[in-house]
Amino acid sequence: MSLIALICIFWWIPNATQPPHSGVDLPPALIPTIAMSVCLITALLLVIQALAMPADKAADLDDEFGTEATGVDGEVLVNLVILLAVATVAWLVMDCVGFEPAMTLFLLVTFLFLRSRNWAALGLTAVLAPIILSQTVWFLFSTELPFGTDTCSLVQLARGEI
Amino acid sequence: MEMMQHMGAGFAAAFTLENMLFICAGVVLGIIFGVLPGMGSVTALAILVPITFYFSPLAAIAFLVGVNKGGTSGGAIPAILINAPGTPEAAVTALDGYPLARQGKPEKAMKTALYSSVFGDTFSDIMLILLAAPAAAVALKFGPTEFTAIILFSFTMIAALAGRSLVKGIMAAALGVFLSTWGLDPVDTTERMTFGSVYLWDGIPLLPMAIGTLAMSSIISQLYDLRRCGETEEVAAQLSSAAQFKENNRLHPIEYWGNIRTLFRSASIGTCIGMLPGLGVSLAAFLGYGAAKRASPHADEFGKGRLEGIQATEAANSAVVGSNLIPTIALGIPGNVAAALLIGAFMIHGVVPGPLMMQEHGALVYSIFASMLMANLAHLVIGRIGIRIWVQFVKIPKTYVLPTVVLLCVAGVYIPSNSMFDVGVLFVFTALGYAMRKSGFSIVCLVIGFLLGPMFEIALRQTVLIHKADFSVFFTHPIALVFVVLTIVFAWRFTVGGKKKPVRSAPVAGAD
Repeated sequence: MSLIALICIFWWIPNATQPPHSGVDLPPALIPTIAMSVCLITALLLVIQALAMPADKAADLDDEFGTEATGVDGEVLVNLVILLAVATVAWLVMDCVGFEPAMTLFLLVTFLFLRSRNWAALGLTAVLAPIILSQTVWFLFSTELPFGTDTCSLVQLARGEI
Repeated sequence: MEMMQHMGAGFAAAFTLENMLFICAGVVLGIIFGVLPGMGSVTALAILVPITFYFSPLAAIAFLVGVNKGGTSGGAIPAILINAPGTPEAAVTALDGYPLARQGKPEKAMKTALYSSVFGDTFSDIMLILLAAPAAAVALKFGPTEFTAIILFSFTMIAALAGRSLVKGIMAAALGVFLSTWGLDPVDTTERMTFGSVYLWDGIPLLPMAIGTLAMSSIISQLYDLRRCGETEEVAAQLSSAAQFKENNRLHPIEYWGNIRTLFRSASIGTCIGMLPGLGVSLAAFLGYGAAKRASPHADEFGKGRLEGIQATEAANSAVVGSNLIPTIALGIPGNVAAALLIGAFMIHGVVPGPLMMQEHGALVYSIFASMLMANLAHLVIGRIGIRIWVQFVKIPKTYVLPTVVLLCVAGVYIPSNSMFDVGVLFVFTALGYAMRKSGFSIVCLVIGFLLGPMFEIALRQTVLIHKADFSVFFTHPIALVFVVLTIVFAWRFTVGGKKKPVRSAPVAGAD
């Protein structure tokens, strides 16, 4: 976080913002710079805190998340990678093929991931839930959930358009 | 006395079967929209305003008031039952509501949320009826300088919400502020951190950011836990015995009314926030919760299933619903997006909100006030019946419920914007939220920073431009000075002079 904050303060924010139009106005870079400076200071404080006082996990149970806050270990990193991979695939499939097939696939994969073996309930939920939701949204809001197009990101990528 | 006569006439006009049915329908629809992640009262109002074109003016406004009330409190239901708050304000309800549900007391948590919501609503409606004109005059004295000071003060709430690590809370809030600055600059409209993408000109959209970090990340975390441990039997076991479940979920009057000071404090905070245009429901919820935690001798029990936490949040956020009509009716200035939509509904029916509204449409205004009070009663009855239904969802295996909620989140984010970009943002912030959960960085503080950042920047830069960079205005404007002093006092108390009060041991579930 310290490294990210340093890059933001000294390189990214100055290059991604412009000076103010008015002489009495505050620069547009001011608030983002202050925010990242606070991040930098607090990140350094956390480093010092970690070096000075090794965390006692049992005594230091988090207020907001309780036992959920296990710390970032190998398992959490693997989970994050799985999450990002599934999210990317789900997004691309939804963009190119549509909401209903993408979400049916997502539900099937998730149920299998959860070791659910009740095939009837699994199949019914995976197939019916996206269809019912999609039709309800269309009926209530006249909004079509992503339906897939031939100009989706994957096709554009294949054509070399992006 | 004259007001009582007007109110009597208002009740006489509003107390019809047609009006009652519209109010009830509005509350039911509002609760349903509130339960769905990403929907909420604003989306519900936006969708339902055109339908009211065919109603009488009173029925239309009464219906929309019902929608607004139901929608504001409905978000508490998924927050309590599955820790999937669909809105930022519901995230604060989840802090104590979900732990209580995990202790086998989901009905108790929902009852507390409902009663507190109705309490906050009724309190602010009464304030609206009594103080509409004088309160609006006071609200007019609040300019950018005062708003800057108030928002600066609101940042001290991070200390109350940060949990055990204040440093992590501050870092999360600062990150939230930084992320909120992406997009076009609010004053100069020059690009900031947009990567040259037009999708980012409006900044990172709030809805996918909030749903991703608050709701989806919680669902994903629970999915991983389900894979590791299987369905936990704790709640199911407690639900299996009907007698025990009933006993666990009984809300004793002493438990509820024992925290009456918290209820009044939060309702007052919500009412004041609602009166001031541009602030909002989420800020009221954060301030209400923070103030309750600071004032409570049981501060350490907040976040572990304390009723007081739910009461503080729900009373504060629901109190905004009534009071944001104060500037709307008295001045024609909408207090927030929901009030702006209500102004649209007023105008559809030939009523122009503003200083002349009471003179030109006095009878209608008092009928609306009466309808608002009747809507609270309808909300109480319908909400109470609904709790019995919602609690059944706890009995459905999480293996089927949680993945289905992911679908609702994706649809909830896509519907308002029709944009796959927003769905992508949802997934990115889900991953960020999951990492923050595991590493103990407060997501609520991140969202507070994200919400307060733009408000603070706009108010500060308006102040600087109006007063030609003269910062002494913060010490010469009395209201601003009060909030600056409060900010300094609270910041000092939580950092340099901050020693936690000794905490007496007490039962966790709010028995004061």
